[in-house]
Amino acid sequence: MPLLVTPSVLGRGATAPNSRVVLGGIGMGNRAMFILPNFLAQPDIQYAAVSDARADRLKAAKDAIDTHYRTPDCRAFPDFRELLAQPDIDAVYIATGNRWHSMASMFAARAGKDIYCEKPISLTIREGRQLVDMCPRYGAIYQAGTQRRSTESYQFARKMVRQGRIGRVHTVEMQVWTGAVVPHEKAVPVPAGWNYDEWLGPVAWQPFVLGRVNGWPYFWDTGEGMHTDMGTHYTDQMQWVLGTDDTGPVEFETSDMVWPDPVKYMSETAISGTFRCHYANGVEGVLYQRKGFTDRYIRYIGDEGWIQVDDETDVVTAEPKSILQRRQTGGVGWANASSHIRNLLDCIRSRRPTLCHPEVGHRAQSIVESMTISARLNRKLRWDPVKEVFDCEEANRMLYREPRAPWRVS
Amino acid sequence: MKLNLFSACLALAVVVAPFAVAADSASATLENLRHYTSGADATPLRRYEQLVAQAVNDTNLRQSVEADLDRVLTGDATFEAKRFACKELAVIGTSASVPALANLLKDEATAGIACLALANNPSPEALTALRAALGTTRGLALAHVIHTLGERRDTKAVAQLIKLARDTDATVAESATVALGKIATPGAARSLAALRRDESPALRLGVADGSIRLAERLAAGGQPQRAAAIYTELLATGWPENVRRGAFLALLRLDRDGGERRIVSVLEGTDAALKPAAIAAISGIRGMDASQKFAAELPKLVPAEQALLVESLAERHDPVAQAAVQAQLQAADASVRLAAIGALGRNGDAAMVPVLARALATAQSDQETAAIEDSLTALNGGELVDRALTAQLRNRMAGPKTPLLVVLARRGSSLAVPVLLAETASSDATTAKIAFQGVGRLAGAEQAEAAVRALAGLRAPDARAEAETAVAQVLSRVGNPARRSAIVRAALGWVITAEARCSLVQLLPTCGDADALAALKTAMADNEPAVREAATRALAEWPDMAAWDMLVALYAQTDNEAHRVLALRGLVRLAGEENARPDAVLVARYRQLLAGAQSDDDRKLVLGALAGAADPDALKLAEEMLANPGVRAEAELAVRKIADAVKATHPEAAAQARQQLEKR
Repeated sequence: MPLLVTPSVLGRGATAPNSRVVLGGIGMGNRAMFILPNFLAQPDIQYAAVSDARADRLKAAKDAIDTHYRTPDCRAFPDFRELLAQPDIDAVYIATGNRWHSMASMFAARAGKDIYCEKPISLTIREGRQLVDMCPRYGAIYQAGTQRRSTESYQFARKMVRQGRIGRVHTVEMQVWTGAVVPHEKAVPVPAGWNYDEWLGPVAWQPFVLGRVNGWPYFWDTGEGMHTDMGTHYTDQMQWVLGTDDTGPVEFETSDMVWPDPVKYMSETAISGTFRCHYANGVEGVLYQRKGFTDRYIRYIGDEGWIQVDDETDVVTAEPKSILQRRQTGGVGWANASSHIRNLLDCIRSRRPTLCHPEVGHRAQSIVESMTISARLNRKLRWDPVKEVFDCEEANRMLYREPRAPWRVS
Repeated sequence: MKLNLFSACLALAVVVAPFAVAADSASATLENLRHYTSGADATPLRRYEQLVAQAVNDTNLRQSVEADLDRVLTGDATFEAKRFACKELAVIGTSASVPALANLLKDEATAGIACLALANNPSPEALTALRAALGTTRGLALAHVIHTLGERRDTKAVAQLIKLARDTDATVAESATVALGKIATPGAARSLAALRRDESPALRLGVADGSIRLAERLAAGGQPQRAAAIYTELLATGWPENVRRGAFLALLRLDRDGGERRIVSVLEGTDAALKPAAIAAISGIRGMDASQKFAAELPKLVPAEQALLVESLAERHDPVAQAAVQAQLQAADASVRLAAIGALGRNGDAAMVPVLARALATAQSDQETAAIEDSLTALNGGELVDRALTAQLRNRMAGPKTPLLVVLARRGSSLAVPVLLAETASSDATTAKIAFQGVGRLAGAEQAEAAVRALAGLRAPDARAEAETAVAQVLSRVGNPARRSAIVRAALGWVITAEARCSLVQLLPTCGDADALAALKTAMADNEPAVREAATRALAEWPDMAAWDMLVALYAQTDNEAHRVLALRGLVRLAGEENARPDAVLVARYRQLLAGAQSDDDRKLVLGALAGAADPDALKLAEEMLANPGVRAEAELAVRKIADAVKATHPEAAAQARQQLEKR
């Protein structure tokens, strides 16, 4: 239920117009444009500005927003730091490539903006922790874009597990699709209309290679592969259902890893594989990267039954089937992020933590990132979720990548 | 090629190949790595990544790999090769690779990748090299070096950083300011204090950032008073609102009373930047009489603030706070009442059922009623809540029943079924509809007989459609068709009204056995026209071929056009379902239907189903229909579809059919 409050309660004095949250978008690519209608549908959002390192995307986003409002007023900034400097902007939606997620969020928090950022919240575990520290440092409200927590099917599955309908959970199975490969390509001049320096951001500088830029999910520096990108949705669910939002598993290992042929492909991340983690209480999480896009799911297996959410269809199945009679009809699927956005808006006004506050997002991301490190070092790793260190010095040195100047705030 | 396969091949080479060959191979790989650019074979890169992983347990290998990577950093290696080497040295680099990395610091183009490696290099030499670079680099390279030293908390760099914090290059100055906060020595603290006093607009955020980090370090290091002094400075109104808000939250954490007095002070003041944050913090304050104090502030706030405070109070989960929230169910302002309703739902348990049920009686809008329903649905406590709800429904003085029924049905407890079944007898259509909908969702096979009785005893005519749907849902959960049939036929034996008989007759297709079909045949001869009508419609819905002959008879003999069409649709549906097993009998049935057709609309209907029969005789039948201009298009489509389906098994028939189409 939306909270309707006066401007003074927004914490921005008497100047906040019409109690609306004035929003800016950073990174206006495919994801941002897909979710744009969900933001524009909120009666208390004014989408006032956009930013993108690509001129074509910047223009398309401005045009779409101007068309919606029937005004030419949406401001467009090639450099997102200019957008953050706008004093009237209350919050930002960040849908850059994954390499930018944590850093852009930290820039925004320091600039006094509240944040909705797409998953994964970071690429390295330490920058995730830095984000967790940064938000309270500036009293910023942050929502990670793991919107399945606001989706009825996933809420139902959680409720059933938490009510003990499948007994004690011993295994959580998750599945994302097979990763792509990117063929070798030579570097080319940066195309007109690209601010490649900003696009690259905190990543160590490298020449412009179109395949690498378009295939950024499949390189360690920029994406870390499908199990990280999509897997964090499911590890987030696992954490939520198991009630481990402030901690995490203690052991990680991988198997069945299939990597790109380096003779043919420049992409680095796995094509397929099995990533396992174990919690201190013995619960095992298994993340499969295999099969097709539509085959993704999460299944909770207990000693008295199981329950599964099919991510493509939002269909819930269970054993015993009587569990399903408890499901209410209605509710939108994960593709509609409106409820998740609504949660952010309510929290912006109340200054209370969101459903997917930074610690939640960080813990979910820590799991997939630990799996990555285990795969890259090809060894089982023990993890201390309190100190956030591995039992392996080299693995600990992979917790952090020094960001490139000037694209960092911490 | 898989990397693990590559790894296996590499291991094999080490075992069986002469050393000189392996050395040559290694040398070639290193050379290829040194000259790597995008577009080239990435095998050398993947090989060195694998070697780095293997080096974790192998000191000798580690030294040799580091030496190779070190060689990449020197000489004429490409930038991309150096970048790769720095990434790997970030994982395994030691003091051995520092000189080469220090050399890269001198060039702005490579300073960043050098810092990538040095930031993770634990050797003192790495810090020495970075400190030396403070005096030799400028611009972004210098900013990068400063950042790395800050991350490494290098106390020996403080003196230089203090000077750099006043550099004319804003990026450099800000980097140094933040680094001073991270390092947090007394000298760094003095420098940051001076910078705060300077109030330089360009450095404002950097100074705040550095000061906050310094305060965090001081608080973590057992100096909360010094930390609080810094936060208190940053709380002053001249600093940006987000800095003030962050400082306020930090002070709450440092306050001995957990921030209780500070929050009350803000609530009683006019600082709009802090008030929502103060209210949000209330749920976590643990003082003995804190709830009492915070609740006492409620009347002093404006409604929007009251709504926020109600939510925070509810999360305190103590009786005093809960009583204060409950009292707001009677608040004059609607937004406060809605906040109280929502907060009780999220935080309450079975004890809240009578409280929210009473609120139903005084709800001032549909929105409020819906909010109470949502809250009752959300209450934690499982069956305890369900029992409390059923008890509430039995309480005649408890107010409106309908919302409670909605909630019971939504919560999905099997405990609700007896209550819902009882309410199906309500003469109020809304109540009966909701009750039947709930029964349809929740009742199990063992309650099918009771559900049928409820349908037979329906007292609200407007709820009949919902009742029939719901009972059909429940019957479908009875696994044994004979049992389903027995339940419905038994009820047909004792129901009195025609309406009830009609409803039961319409359930017979759900039963689907021979006895049910016989009962349907009897109903088709019933004295009541309405029952006969219901039986005819039920016959058209029969699930299997057992009804074929009865439907054919109806199709051929009835003088009621609506019944004839119903029968034809039923027949076409049944025939279509047999398409998976086409045979001569099925084709004969299609022929029978076409022969009995009275219009082209009838024929089109049959052709639509016939098109799915992959059988050469079906193909002939469809071809025969090509001569009829009124159904020409449908016949052509059927011929094409059947010809496609049989072309593998009956190529000649399929080819002839296509030729016939082309001729025409």
